Amino acid sequence: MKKRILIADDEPNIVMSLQFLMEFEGYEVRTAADGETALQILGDFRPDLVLLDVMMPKRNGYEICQVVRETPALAGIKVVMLTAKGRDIDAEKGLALGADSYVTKPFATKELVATVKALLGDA
Amino acid sequence: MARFAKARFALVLVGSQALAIVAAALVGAGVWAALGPEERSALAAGVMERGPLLVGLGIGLLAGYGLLVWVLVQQHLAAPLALAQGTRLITHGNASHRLEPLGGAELRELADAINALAAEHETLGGELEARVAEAQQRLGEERDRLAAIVAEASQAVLVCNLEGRILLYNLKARELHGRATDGTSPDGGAGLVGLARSVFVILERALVAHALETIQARLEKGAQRPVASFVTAGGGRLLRVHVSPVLRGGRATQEASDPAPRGAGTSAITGFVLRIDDVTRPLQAGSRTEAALQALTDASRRALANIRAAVETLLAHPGLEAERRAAFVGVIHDEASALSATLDRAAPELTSLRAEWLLENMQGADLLSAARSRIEGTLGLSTTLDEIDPGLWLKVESYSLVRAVVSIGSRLQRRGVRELRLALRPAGRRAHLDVTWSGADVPTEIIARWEDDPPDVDGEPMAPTLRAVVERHDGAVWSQGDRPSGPGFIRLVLPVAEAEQAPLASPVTRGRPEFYDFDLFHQPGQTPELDERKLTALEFTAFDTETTGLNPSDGDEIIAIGAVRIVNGRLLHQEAFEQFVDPGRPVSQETVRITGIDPALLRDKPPIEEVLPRFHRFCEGTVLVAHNGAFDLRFLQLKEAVAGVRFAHPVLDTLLLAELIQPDLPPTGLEGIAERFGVPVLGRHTALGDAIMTGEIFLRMVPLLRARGIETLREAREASQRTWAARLEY
Repeated sequence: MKKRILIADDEPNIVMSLQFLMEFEGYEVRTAADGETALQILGDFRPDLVLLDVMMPKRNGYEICQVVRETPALAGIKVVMLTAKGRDIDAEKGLALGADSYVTKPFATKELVATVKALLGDA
Repeated sequence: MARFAKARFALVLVGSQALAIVAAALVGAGVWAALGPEERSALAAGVMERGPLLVGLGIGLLAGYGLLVWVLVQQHLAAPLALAQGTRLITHGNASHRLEPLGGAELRELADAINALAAEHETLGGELEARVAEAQQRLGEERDRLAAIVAEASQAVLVCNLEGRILLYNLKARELHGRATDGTSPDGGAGLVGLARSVFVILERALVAHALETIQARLEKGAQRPVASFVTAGGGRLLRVHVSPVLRGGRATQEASDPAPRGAGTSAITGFVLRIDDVTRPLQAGSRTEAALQALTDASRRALANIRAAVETLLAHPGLEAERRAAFVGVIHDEASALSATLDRAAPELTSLRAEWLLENMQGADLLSAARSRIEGTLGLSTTLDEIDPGLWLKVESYSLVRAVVSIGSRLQRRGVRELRLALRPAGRRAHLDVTWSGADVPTEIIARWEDDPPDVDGEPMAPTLRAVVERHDGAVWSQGDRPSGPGFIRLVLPVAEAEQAPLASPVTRGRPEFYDFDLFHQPGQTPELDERKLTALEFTAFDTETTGLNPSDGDEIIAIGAVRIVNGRLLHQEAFEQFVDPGRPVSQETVRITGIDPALLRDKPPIEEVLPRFHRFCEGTVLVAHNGAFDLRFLQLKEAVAGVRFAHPVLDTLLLAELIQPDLPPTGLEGIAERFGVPVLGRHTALGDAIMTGEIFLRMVPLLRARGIETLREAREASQRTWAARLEY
């Protein structure tokens, strides 16, 4: 069975690239453009990993990360946070709230793919 | 003394002569008793025969003896007394007086010695006087120089005693607060800064107290020159205030061998100096720059991420179908154009650096103990501190930070938390300030919401949110509600400062400050009841109102208020209050005739409910003085409700005081009394002119009241009441 990835980001321009790259790697991909939608899809789609942008409308990435970590039904989902916030303090906060990895924009797509594969045990 | 000497002389003379006569009589009686009867008759015959000779001889002997005693008394009793008197004159009266040589050789020598001593005493006295005069002159020059420096300073400078009374200020301070507190009216606003006024009218007391506490804590740790600063908002302006302590200088004479220097004992704070900058503009510029920089960075990162992802997809997949390929190229083009536009917009804003000067170094332990005492003091919430590394220094703005922590405590308390734990641990370039609790159900999403709610302590509407406070520190905040796995916590991440140099072990003698030496810090406070203070030691506001008519309860209104302050027996003309008031009703022809006020002039003036609060602040802490004050006060009191202030000041009435001083003269108007007390009549029927005249009259009354045994405010008030009662009885 294909492993599943949720891409939550409000910028279609990056979602397009990420979706293409992840599907090319053989993952089943769903996308969400805001926090509320992301939370819904998390419950329905039950992905193995979520690529989570920090700055999103409605619920931000930190909140969603915390929900994932506090909800037993969502246990085990890997969380990779993506953000345009460059301060190291933001990365620290993301990791403190339970993210598995924290990637600052801009990033090398190869490295992102490698990170995702490593987290899903496909490396 | 001379009388005493003569009496003693007479006593000695008469006494010793009587003794000689008694002795002679006893010898005669002894001889007489030893003789036989014939011998007795022979002796009697012999004595009778030479009677005149014997009597003459006796008188001669007595006289000679008297002379001898007189000479002795002159030499040994009167002469020393004369010397003593002369010496006393030299000591207490005329230092250039010299003693006449008197009496025997020994006494003449004593007189010479005393004269030599007197000469030296006179020389020394002269030198001392010259030195005192020189020192006073130097002090005067230093004072003038300080006043000149302060006057020329580009910052606003205020020197205050510990109670916050202003002892010295410069023009900048007046200007700053004239604008800061009341942009619309330079007259009323500027009057808030004045000698002996409370500085807490213009600066929040809590902020200054917090700064002084910080300074005191550092002094106790042995810091040499601790200063503190804060930023405060007022009248739409941001003021940066530096606080430095004025320390008592004279007691810093510690033994050099004392191995344990104790700052606390030798450096009592007797006052403080405030230096104030208006940082509204730099701060606004700073935060605009900061926001622009942040926005630019974020936007660049986003755009670059999108471009890179697209480019790298294209590169990694050369065989992409044309349609897909065009879509990715489109993304690259869009994002690159957007990024150019963002850069163009941001460039002008990026001219200065972030406003990091808001932050100051503080020992972590100090910050936490300040937070704990505020939480326990204001909330009564039990708080424990984990052990904190004394070498951990933070770069913080402590006032708003402490307030933010108290606000967290207050919210947790309302959610049922009974005990807090504060901890501070270093984490690289930053430190974690953790507020921890357990045993209460506080969900994570509730806490997360607190970040953006304004803090609810102190009832300050301007208080920044927790997020704003943390962002000011370039920090972050995150939190976690109670879980089975551990207690709930809120973590504030704060920047670490380089540790301040620890004070050296050797005690340092702190000299007096080099360029000034005021006696101003000995002014007594307002705290003991005003009533018991002498009239000469009180501050007064002499005031007068002009009104549309004489019947406040029939709708007559105030059209002008004038007031002037009296401090230390001086009328301060430059600290005056003058404000016209829109009465909101027509002004009668009669009033126009008396006051010369053009009704048209009043139309754009503020209403009484705006003017009275300002006047109230102007006379805070003073005794009101008015002529026929009952009339003016009635007008003020009728407006208390609409203006939201209360005039509970003690009041003295020059009309009643005049009757007290000159009970036999008929009561008269202000002008008549002014003439009686020799005060020139100027500017009649303008509120300020009458207020100044009332003040001058009052100043001339104070010594006359003292002559009648009326010295304190209580005595003056009670005597006035009696006069008032007496008038009513007629």
